[in-house]
Amino acid sequence: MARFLAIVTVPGITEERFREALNQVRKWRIDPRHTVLRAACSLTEGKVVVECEGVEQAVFEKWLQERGWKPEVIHRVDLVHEGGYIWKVG
Amino acid sequence: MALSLEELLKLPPEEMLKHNEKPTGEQLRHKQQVYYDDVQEGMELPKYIYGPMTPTHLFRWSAAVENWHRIHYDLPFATNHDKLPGILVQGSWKQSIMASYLKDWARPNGWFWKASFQHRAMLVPGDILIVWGKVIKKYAKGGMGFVELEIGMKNQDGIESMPGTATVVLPLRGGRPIPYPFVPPEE
Repeated sequence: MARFLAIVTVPGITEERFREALNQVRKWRIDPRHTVLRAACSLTEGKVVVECEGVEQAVFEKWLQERGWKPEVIHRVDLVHEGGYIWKVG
Repeated sequence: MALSLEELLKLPPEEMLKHNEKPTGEQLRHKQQVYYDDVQEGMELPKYIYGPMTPTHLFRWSAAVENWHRIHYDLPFATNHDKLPGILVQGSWKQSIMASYLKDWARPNGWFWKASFQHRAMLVPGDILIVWGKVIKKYAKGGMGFVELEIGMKNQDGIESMPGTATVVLPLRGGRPIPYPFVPPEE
């Protein structure tokens, strides 16, 4: 399994559009091997950051495209600090 | 008219919830007995629908049964440490739901005798769960009606998370009551 972090530029994104894009999501668990964990949005900079646990980057990319988001970069990350712990996720 | 399991699974999740056949407490108190004579092989039991499951549901069960395994309430632990798709619906909750489901069908005078199942797929918050049963065999013995069922708990995508079988003992119409406590007839 791998952890992917996508950075997407969405010029002019608003809270309403962010909510609209994600409220339509029925399956955060894309399939048994891929789960979108969280999405964060900067309204002022027009950026969305999305995190996915999975195996194939292409599956995550397809999910982003279905939201209308084309990632400018997807990083495969190895460590995450969360909840007071450093987790090895790579 | 109740939908079949197959028909139900074709619906979008928000529509599925409208077809929940789980009776209220009041309806259960006045439930009419299902008799052995009324049951046919291939017949489906009423389907109970739960969800969408939330972290609150999971935490409530963990607290109730004092199961403090972090995979059931600690999302960072579940996803980062155990690489799970989310916090997981407890197998013990599913078992208790299945037992209630079969008891409900047997009541007021039948007996949910035994069940056997496996925990296969992982269920997470957001999932809608459909508890189902289907009659696969029936036979009368010792003045009682034995009904063998195929049972399970599917999510909204039709993934079976808990396949199994069960045996429920129902009274024959006009027959003797099922003894309490139930003693299975000798082979």
